Amino acid sequence: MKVDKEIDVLHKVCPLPLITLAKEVRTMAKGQVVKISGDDPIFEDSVLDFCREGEHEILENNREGRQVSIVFKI
Amino acid sequence: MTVNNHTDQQELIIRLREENDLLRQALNDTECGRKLIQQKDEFSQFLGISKAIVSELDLSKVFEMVANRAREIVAAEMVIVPIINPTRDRYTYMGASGKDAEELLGKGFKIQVGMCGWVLQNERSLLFGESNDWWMDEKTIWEEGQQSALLVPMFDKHQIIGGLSAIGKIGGGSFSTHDLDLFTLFANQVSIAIENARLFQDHQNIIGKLKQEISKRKKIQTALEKEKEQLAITLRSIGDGVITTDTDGKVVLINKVAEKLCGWSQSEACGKPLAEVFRIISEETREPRDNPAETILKTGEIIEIANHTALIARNGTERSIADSGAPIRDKSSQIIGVVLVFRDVTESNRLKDELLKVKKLESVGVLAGGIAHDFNNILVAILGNINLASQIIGDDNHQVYPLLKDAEKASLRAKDLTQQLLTFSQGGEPVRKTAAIPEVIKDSADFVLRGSNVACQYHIADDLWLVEIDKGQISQVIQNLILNASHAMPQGGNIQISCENIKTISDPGILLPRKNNYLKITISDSGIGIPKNIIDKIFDPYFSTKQKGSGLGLAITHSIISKHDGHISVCSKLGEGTTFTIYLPASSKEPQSLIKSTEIPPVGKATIMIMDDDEMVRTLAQRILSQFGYEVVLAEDGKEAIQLYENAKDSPNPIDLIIMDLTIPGGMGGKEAIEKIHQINPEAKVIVTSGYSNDPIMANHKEYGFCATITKPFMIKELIRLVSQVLS
Repeated sequence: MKVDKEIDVLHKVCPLPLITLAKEVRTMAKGQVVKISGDDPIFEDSVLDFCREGEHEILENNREGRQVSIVFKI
Repeated sequence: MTVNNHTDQQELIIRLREENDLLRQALNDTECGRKLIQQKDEFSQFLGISKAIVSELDLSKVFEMVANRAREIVAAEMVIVPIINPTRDRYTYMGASGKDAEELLGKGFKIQVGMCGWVLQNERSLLFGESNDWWMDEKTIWEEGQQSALLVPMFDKHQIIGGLSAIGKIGGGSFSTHDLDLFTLFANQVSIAIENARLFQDHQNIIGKLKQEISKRKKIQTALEKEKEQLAITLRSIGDGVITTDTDGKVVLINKVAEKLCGWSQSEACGKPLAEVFRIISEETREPRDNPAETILKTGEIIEIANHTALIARNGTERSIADSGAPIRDKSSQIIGVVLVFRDVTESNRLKDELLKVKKLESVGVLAGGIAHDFNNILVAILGNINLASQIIGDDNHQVYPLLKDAEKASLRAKDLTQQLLTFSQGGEPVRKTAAIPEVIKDSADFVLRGSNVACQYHIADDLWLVEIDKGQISQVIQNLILNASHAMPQGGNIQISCENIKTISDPGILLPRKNNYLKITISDSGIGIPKNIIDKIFDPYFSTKQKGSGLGLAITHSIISKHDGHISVCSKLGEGTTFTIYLPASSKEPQSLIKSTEIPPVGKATIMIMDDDEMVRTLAQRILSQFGYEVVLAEDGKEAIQLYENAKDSPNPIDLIIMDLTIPGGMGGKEAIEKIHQINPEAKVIVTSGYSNDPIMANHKEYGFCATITKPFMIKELIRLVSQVLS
């Protein structure tokens, strides 16, 4: 799966991961794929909420320990 | 302890300070004491900060100060201030301080999103750091190297309004529970400041909106006042009368013209029932007309007020008016009043009546013109034959003679009547000759007053100027005036007639083409006088106070004087009498012939041609002229006259004089015939005759080549004298 943009928000806490994600998505086209990784305790819930609100399709959601990586299509 | 003086006070302060320092030193020596001192200092700083924030009322500044001070208090890399939106389903970062602050300011999320969302929904604090359990779901625990976070909710009196969120401890590591306590305390303090500032801002917004509303309303009010003023000016300036009423039919507005016509001012009329201010009646029946406001309010339709409606003003003055009325409707088409528009048509009606009279006169003129020709020819025959018969009898004592004289008189009266009617036909142009007015006046007055109990007293200036007049017409004027004067004095009396020269007319009321050299004639009686209300109408055609009057006498008088470029006016007092004053322009010419010859000139020898379509006229003229020794040739029309004239030209008996009728129905008349005659003989002598004494050709006959005129019907003496004059 081709990922058009990877966003690393590891060690950043809410709301900075969401702000960074929203800022990047605004610059991308519909149909492009984004991968975002973070370790903030509320990171997973926040990104899933963000995708639901923007009707973005979740392609992958992986957790390794405290680190979560989510791939979605804009 | 009692302090007696200033020195004691100073000493006491110094001693207390020393004791304070000692206590502080002692506390510093223990861990617990140090913590207490730190807490005291933090608390003092904290109170100072809170005070500063609470005193600020600008909400954006409050958020900025809160974020900045909060960051200082807990030594955070960044502090953000999430505030729940009025809809309470989202929150927005209203304040931010530190790294990435600009990026976050104004951003927002749904209430359930993020750590802030968790705090705002659960209304609980959150410390993501080393010494505190993670309360959310134990999914993760803070580890060294991660950013620590500290979040506390903020409440006003009743509910959560937002929170404070500190992210990243300066220098790394985690926020402590002590930071949490300070943050909570700070949040409680600043929530009041935020609420105050919010209330203040709401208040300011309301005030701002109110100010805007007031300003808007003021503008609308100003515009309305301007419009009202313009409307009032327009209404007051409008040439028609305008009255508006409310739905009770009471006057709301009355414009200037309406004020004048009704006799009520705006302040007097306002609130009065319309019928009181706007009193209208039928001019014919004198009955009050229906109240137009009531009719309009009842039917909701536009109405026109009937013709012949009179408005009775407050002072009783009556005016003819034309009027219309309409309902006034608001935006929803509801009737909110009535507007009436009316105008004074008194003068306009008078002019219409005048016009009608003029048209009637024109009809009379056409009728008169139509019958004049034939009627005059008949009169020529009657009058001429009576003259001839009188001459043939030749004896004044003959028993037939007075009968013939009476018949002649009757014929002359018929002639006068015809001339009166003819004044109205063909434009009535006077045939002017230079004349002395006293003779005309005396002859006319004596003629009218013969046998009556009224006499004339003359006051005539010796050096009276001559005038250029149509004697017949001026005689008619004098006769009319004298007759009226005599009728005004049924018991008899004197009529004063005066004539004088007027060098300059100074009265501005007398409108004349020039100001200098007029003859003033005044005719005064001491009769019953003319009532004031009809004095303006006496010159109107068909206006008469006499049972048998035609109503034409004074109208003709006025017409004749006007056509002579003169002026006539009247002045009267009831029971005292009436004076007519006439101005006629003085002539600069010498009199043509002021000595009236009554003698018939000696018989002449000449050949005279009579051209007339009427056999009676031809026969009479032949009889008269033959009796005086003239040879007479007769022609029916211009064509025959030309032929006869040409044939006779080179014969032993050429035609010396032609008397030709101006108008030949269906044939060549005098105007055309004289041109042909003059082509044959430019020296030919031609007299023109017509019943239309006021025909322009008769008035200006010389311009058309005629050497004299004679108006039909004519007397023998008149004809013979003229023929004799022309031939000599």
